[in-house]
Amino acid sequence: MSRPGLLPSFSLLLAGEAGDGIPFLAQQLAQLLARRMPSLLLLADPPAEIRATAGSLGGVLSYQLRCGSSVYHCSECVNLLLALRPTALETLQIELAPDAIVLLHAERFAADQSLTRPRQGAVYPLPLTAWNRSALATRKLSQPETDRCESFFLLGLLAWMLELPLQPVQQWLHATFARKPEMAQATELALTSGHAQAESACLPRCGLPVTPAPAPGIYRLLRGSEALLLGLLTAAHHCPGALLLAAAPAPATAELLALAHEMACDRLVVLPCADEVAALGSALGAAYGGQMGVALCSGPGLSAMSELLGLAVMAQLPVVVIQVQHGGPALALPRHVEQADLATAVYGRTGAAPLVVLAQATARDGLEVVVEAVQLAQKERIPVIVLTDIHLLQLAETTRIPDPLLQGQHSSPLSEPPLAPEPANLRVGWLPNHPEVYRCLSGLERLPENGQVSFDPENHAQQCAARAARLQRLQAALPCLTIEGDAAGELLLIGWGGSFGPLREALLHLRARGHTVGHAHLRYLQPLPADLPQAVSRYRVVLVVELNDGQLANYLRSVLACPIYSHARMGGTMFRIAEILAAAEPYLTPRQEVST
Amino acid sequence: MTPTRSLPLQPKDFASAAEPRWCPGCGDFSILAQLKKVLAGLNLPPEQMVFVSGAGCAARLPHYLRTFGFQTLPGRAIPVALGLKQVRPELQVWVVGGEGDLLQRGANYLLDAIHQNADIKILLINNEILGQSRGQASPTSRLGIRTPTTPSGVCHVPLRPAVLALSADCRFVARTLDVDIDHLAATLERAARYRGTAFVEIYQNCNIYNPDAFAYASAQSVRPDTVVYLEHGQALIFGKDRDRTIAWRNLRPEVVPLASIPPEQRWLHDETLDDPTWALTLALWSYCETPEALPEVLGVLRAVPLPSPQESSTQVHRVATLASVLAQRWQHGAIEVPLCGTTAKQWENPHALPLLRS
Repeated sequence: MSRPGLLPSFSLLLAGEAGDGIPFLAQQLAQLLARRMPSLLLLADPPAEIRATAGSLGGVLSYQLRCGSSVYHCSECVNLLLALRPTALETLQIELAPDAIVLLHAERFAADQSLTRPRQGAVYPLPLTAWNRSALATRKLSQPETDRCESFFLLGLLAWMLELPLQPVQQWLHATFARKPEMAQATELALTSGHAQAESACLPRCGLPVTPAPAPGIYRLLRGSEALLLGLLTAAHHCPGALLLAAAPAPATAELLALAHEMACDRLVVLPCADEVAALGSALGAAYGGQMGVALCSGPGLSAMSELLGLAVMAQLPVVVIQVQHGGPALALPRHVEQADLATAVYGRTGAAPLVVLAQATARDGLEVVVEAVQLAQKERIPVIVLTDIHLLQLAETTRIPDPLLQGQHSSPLSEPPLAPEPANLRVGWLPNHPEVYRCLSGLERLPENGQVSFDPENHAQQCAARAARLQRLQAALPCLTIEGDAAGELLLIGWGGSFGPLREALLHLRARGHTVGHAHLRYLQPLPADLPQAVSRYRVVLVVELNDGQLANYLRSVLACPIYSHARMGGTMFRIAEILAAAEPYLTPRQEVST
Repeated sequence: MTPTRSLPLQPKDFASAAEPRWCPGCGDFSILAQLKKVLAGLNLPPEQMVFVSGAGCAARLPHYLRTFGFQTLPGRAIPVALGLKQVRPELQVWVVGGEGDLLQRGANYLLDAIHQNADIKILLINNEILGQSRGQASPTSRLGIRTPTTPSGVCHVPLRPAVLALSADCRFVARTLDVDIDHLAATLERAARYRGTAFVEIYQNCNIYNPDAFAYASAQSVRPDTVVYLEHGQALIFGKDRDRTIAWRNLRPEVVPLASIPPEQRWLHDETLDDPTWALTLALWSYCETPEALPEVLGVLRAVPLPSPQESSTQVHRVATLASVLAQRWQHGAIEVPLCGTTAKQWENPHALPLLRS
């Protein structure tokens, strides 16, 4: 009953309140879909309030799932919407596809007529509670127990609509409720009843896009936050000693930090700190002790770290700062995505304090970017800032588990021993417990020949130039810019960070329309790739797309000779593909659309 | 390799090549000298000692010691020390700072160090003035003194560093004086040997901006009447003729003749009390600030023995190995795609896309 070729991708939005079983449904559906679809993304949007009053707007939580043959971006037009609460439709900015299917929890929508009802799509109000209760009527369960099975009923119903097998869920619930056989039977009955009910109620099939099957293997849903921490663990594996992760409490990083504590081990030490300054200070202390220091911060925390980043530059201590960006300044939008910390990362220090700035592009890229940041910091003895954002932390994608890990080992393809202390260079290698060198490290300017403190202006100028030259040397050693799409042509889209997904899909659309377009997504923001000037010169127009006030565009204007066009808007929501297509439109040569 | 050191070490073995640059007559010279003496007696190699400081006159001290040192930024010494201690618990980590450094920008972290009880030694050198900032008032400056930032005189009641540390339930708190070198050395040694965060307040004379702030305690002639030295298990006896003590009268401590209190009713100092109330009471007495002119208390106010290494945060029990955590976390929620797929695709590199046009 599926409609082949109609939908290149499929997007599903599950919205409700805490207690409605939305995360469970999303996880289970993602697990089922991952067996069929080669590419799958899952984006969690947790509620604004911690314990919102039932039925209030602040309590809405949603999960969006998008899958297809190659999807890069999650928050797009919704093909199937499941709204368990009227408040969900009131709060979420949902864009429905023209042929969308909308499932409503009829009992709850009937109870509250004051709130919005969907005006678009094929709407199916479903008496889920009644259906579930009648399905489980023969079971000797209390009413709350019966109602708790409702998410299994719903899962069965959705599995029928999406034509997904129930068997993996059945296996899962038998394993989960192994000690409660009555629950296992009840949930299984709810699941199969939901499946049967969907058919008897003549609900439509959703028609998943036809895609190649995923390659056989073991996969998992990897969230951006997990990827960052797995990256830290991998980096710790390559470090000579321990890796200290220091962080101050903040809502944006709370989940990440809780996960870090779960992952703490002999080589990953997690230290809760009083504030961001203490976090970076502790990371510096670890680096001074010859270990690796990583500080985690979010929002305005990066500004607080500014002074100690300057000290790290002066003292040549290898530290990594992971900055979770959200809407700012201050705590303007603490739960919403924005990319407005680039200028602070690149320029935001007193004095001339050059350091390395990298950005995470996708959820699983967190893994690679962190490993690279730690290795760069150790090799170059320089602070590295990794910019990620709150959207990427919540975004999950199916990722194949590396084979060596399944065999209980971990390979070290990235292992390159960090530089040994260099006694010749007085600014490095002062590891305590090293009887040959006693020295007091500080942020004071020193003479290169003997390390003595010197306030000589000429020496200061030379040392500043030497610090800047280190970045230039690093730039020469970095990999060339990767451009996806056409290597030359009408338009080069430049982006960075979490806008990778919409930009990459926009590129596919534009090229499918017959335009010659390239997409360069900058991982190295400071230093920039050495071949960037040559790369941009091959395009007629260079358009920088970013969720801020044009920070990358302004930055590139200061280093590139060609005109840089900018499509920038402040954050809150991630770009939609259509928005990028519209932004690119004025710069493209009109041509007849090529059908795909 | 440099030649091996001869043991035992001498104080001169702890002198760095740098010439101390403090004003002549500064109390910091005395603190440096006694510190070198104490360090030499600890039987620890100098390379296992790290002195971390922030900014200010006192923060220069690590430069003058032949140990490892790190002068950070104003107020930021403690986080650095805590991070270092966390990953290198075998090192003896000291923090040195003035009251401006540790009680203004660094106050937050001072509480953190006490809270974590992380086995670092904190020396707060209190001269009741900001020397490096050209004599501005500090949080401990006394009421009424005129400085460039308080032209009409200080109008805020000064903070008492030892009181602050005790209020935060610091398990080791001591107070000493720069010119009383034997007492200074003995106190520093007690701090060095304490396992857990040790807080030492050192009264220090800034002879340029706040001279004679501690003259009442420094001058040998008056010291017996103005200072009571604490000794564990001993009564609080002071006075030139050791004929006075403190007693509780009308809910207030009062100076009374020793003879008026029978020996069994005298207050005996107990530094090991788990309840900080006694130590706090002692720390609050001030010869200059309290109207009764109670004697200033010097010595170890509190040194609670730590029950087990688990209390120190650096001894956190960590058993899981990195390899096991890495493998386990990767396989968390694994999804098996059975061998029925037909098409090979770009799983390994999601960034690589098939080009739509050649």
